[in-house]
Amino acid sequence: MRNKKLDSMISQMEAYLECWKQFSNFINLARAKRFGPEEEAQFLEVKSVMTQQLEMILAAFETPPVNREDIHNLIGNASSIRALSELNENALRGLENQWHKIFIALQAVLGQLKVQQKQLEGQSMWSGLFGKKK
Amino acid sequence: MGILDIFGKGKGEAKPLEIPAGTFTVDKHGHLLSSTLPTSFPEECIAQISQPVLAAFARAHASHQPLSELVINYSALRITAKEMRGGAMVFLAPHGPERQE
Repeated sequence: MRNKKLDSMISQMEAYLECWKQFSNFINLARAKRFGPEEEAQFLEVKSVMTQQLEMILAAFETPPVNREDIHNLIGNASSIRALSELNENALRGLENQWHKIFIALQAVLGQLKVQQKQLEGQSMWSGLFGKKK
Repeated sequence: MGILDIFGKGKGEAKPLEIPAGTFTVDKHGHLLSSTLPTSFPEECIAQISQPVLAAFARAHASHQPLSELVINYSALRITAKEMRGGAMVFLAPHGPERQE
């Protein structure tokens, strides 16, 4: 049995996590001081997507799987790549740790969704074997 | 002619669509996942942009070519697409003399 809503949620979460990876790439650009106006514009767009998508994800769960405040804090602390490039190494590492903590929490949520998907597939196998005999 | 102009305005010549700056993400099937583009920007245009981009990434993947970013430069628009596990994140950056104020 397939649950379209669950499949679409998994697809959304995977895309969301890709955005998080992009965020990390921009931190690396800030550290290497290799960025221009285009990267700045892209960084802003990535942050916009991350913020918007977060609401869609939170709306899909009865209890929030991640803390909205933590994510807003992280995005709020990274106003631009230029601002990140001016941070000292300790501050930048702190931001990376903050990013990594949330990234792993989101991966755990994706894992839970995949478990649900597998369970549904398992159910369909059993109902395929025994269900039709009724 | 003056009075006819009143009726002519509004439904007359269609203005060319102004492409806004923004980004959108699509999955590997081309379904829109998120967008920072204004809601007035038609979804058909998003599909017209994303289809060739996804096809390029798929072809590169099929021929084992590592393609993670695609940049298309038009005189008034720069499209940057980043590969996202079969899907893509597409940045639209319109430019041109009228935007460089």
